[in-house]
Amino acid sequence: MVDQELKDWQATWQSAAETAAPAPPFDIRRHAARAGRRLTVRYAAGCLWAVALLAFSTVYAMRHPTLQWLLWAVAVWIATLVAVGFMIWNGRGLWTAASQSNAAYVELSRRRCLAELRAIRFGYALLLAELIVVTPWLLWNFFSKLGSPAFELPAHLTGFAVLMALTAGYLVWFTTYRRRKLRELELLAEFQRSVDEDDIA
Amino acid sequence: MIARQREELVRRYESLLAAYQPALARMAASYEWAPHKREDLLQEILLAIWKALPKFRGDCSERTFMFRIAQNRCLTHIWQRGRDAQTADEPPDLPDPHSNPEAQVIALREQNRLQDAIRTLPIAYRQVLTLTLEDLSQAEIAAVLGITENNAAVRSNRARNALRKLLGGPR
Repeated sequence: MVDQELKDWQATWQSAAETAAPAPPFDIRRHAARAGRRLTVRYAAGCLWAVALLAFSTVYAMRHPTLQWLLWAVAVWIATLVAVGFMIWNGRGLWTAASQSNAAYVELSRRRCLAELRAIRFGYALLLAELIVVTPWLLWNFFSKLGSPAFELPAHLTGFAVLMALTAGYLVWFTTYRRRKLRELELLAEFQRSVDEDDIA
Repeated sequence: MIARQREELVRRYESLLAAYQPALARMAASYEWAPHKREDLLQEILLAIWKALPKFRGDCSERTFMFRIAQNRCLTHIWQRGRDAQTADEPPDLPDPHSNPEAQVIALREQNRLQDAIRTLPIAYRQVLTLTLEDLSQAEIAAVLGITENNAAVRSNRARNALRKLLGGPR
């Protein structure tokens, strides 16, 4: 009776004619190569961005060799090196699953989620550090030049506006991304629970 | 030499597709309501199989290997999507009564009813049930999902009970 039921379900299920056309192997090969490189490219882009920041800050400090710009360059170097170090450290064990099993796959996904959440927390900390350094510097720059012939209000206002816009943008991005990752973690946990319940049974 | 290996790979890939593409499409359908997203998911599955094929060393059957990749890809799809429910703007595809004879309409309705019910099952049950419906043995299901045979059997029973309840409801 029950087997007949299963046979009926199988017959109904297998009669479903899903007719999505397969991608030709050439296209798939091209896309596969691209997808396989995506993670590497992201890391490489991070490193390139870091190199660009380091080079820019060095050149700028060399062209404007005042204490203010030297300190700024040092701050950029420290922040960049710390960020790159974190990126490399955070990327450990995120590249491949230990095996092709569900459990290994869930574990890899969970590790990736946790790494992303760590990166977000690091981002918050870096943003805070940046604000602690940049805000007093902008204020000092503003008040030290106020009333002097070199004072240019639009330039100062632009500096404050850029800082506020970047801060707001990062905060929105971090919050949205964090929410998405937490939801993903919940789904992973839910799936893991359903698997565990069956393991106990 | 490399060209020959690549040709061999393409040949293996095409023979797998010829044998299993309908099954993979049905699996994609059990994870995604919207037809266009379903096609995207199938493409992602095919891509993942293509990527993994060179690493296949024959430690299990090609069928097991392929379904394992497909299941993992479907899970990724669900997790990336962040939800597992039908949205209001994406109704399930229903048979078009004007283009099908009556018998075909009834058959399509039954297929849709079964697919809809399977889509509402918890993921762990859905996995085991879609593989059962594709005629995989308990041992193969266990190998695909990375669980014990006993576990696969328990889960299969529960999944069937859950599906029976769902299908027993009003049509």
